[in-house]
Amino acid sequence: MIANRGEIALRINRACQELGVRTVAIFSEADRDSLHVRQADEAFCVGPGPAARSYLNIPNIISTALITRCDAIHPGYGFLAENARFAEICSDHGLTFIGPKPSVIALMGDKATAKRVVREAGVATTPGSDVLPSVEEAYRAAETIGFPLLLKATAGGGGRGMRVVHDPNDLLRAYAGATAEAEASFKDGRVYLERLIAAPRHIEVQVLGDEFGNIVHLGERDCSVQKPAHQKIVEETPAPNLSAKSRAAIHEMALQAARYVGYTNAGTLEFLVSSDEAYFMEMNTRIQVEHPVTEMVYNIDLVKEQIRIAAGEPLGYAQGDLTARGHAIECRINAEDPRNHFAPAAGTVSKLVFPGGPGIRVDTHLYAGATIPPYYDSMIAKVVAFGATREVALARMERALRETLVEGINTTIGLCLEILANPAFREGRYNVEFLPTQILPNGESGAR
Amino acid sequence: MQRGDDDVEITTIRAASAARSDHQAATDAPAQRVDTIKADIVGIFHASRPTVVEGDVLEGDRELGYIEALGIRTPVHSKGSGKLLTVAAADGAPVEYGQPLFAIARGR
Repeated sequence: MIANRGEIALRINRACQELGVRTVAIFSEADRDSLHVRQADEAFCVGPGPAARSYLNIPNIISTALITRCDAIHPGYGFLAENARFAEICSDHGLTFIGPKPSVIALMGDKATAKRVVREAGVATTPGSDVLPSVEEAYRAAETIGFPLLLKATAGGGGRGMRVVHDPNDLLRAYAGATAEAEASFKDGRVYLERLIAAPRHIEVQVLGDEFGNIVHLGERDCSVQKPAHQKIVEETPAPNLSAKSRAAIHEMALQAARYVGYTNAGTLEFLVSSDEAYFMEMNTRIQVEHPVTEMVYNIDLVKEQIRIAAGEPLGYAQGDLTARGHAIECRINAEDPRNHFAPAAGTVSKLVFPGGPGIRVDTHLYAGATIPPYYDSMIAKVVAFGATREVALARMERALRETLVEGINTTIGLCLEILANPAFREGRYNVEFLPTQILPNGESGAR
Repeated sequence: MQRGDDDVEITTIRAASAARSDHQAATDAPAQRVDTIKADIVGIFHASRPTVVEGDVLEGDRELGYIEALGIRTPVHSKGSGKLLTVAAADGAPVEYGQPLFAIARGR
């Protein structure tokens, strides 16, 4: 069963079809006409539009899996993908959860715990505190760590429950705001502090582990092009302008942490990199949105690997057998208006042309006439360009985005083209401050 | 549309406009109301005994069947009196969220 929607549901369906595995899709009433519903072997409506009553409705999802005699559930990303309780419930009902063990999801899904565990493994983390049960403890921790600081929700993601704290006067308000936002977003108001690393790069490492203790990395991805709310928009591999020594060190840090927790299946360890010093930030215990860039350079289907691993098969290769070739870039096409603080743009797609040609891959659930419901994530397509070199991949991406036509809704295509044309980006000199400070302030980032 | 309890959803339509072939509804005023009782959970539908059939006149809030999911039986009620127009769910069949199970004509 594919317990997700949109492009990732299609992506998983494709892997299953190629493996000869029959699929059951779930969908909400708002997604009745979605492509993932049409392409699965069977499809079941599990609830109304709002995700809390459909894609997060564990009883209806498990019931669907049981009555359709599924033997495994792929959670995709988002929704229930990092819900340890859901993974446990799957197991209680004899369903294989395609992901790591529930105990590992729980351990690494809690950001403060994950940092402590990774420190135990001997991997550098940003200096920070444990969970702060009171603002008094936050003041004490802040004195020890030093300003500026980042106050973060332990259950956080997507920038929610996160506050930058420049001096002690900001702390009280930031603590109240972050805990309230975290409580509202994740039903978990716990927060912790870490030192704010100025203008870091966001570099993450893909790992795969099997049930027999074999763990490999599949290189890194540079995801430093992020919107103000820390949402990624352009990702590439390999990370440009990273010394061979730093690259190898980051890969080794990821392996060390993954081995320490006995990681199985696909996962990603995210690092903040500043002046070639890397600090572990957090781990995502699932497939990532940006996994295709890794697939392009390693020529490995990560979703098929997830399914094989969950079925108890060994990896069948060691680190030395893996070689990355070429360069891959991904641009996220979101239904949102970059000129209006990335406001989501629900609506109907009137005309649609996606690119093709050498080195281009498009992962999307969009079709002409498709309606984008207001309930879910705004990402509607991922355009991935591959080339022997970064220059070739960049040229292909620019060409591909110019071929792309999405009419009826605002999108981030124009913004992605601006990013690609920026001299600093072209030279591979960018960090997480790049998009907010160098592209967005000029006000020209527009929909096309 | 009006929500039922946690077991069913009820969709109400006016028979005079939605079912013009129904002579009774077309000639009698005021118009007859038809409620569609839908599954609100995913599971296996089972008809209650004695099984109702199309044309039955239901008195009060009668249990028409139940949906079994994860070992729990959630009853499906008629939500009041009326004439059973349609039995859409087969005994022992899987049902999805929002699937119509019964249509009941209310009033006279």
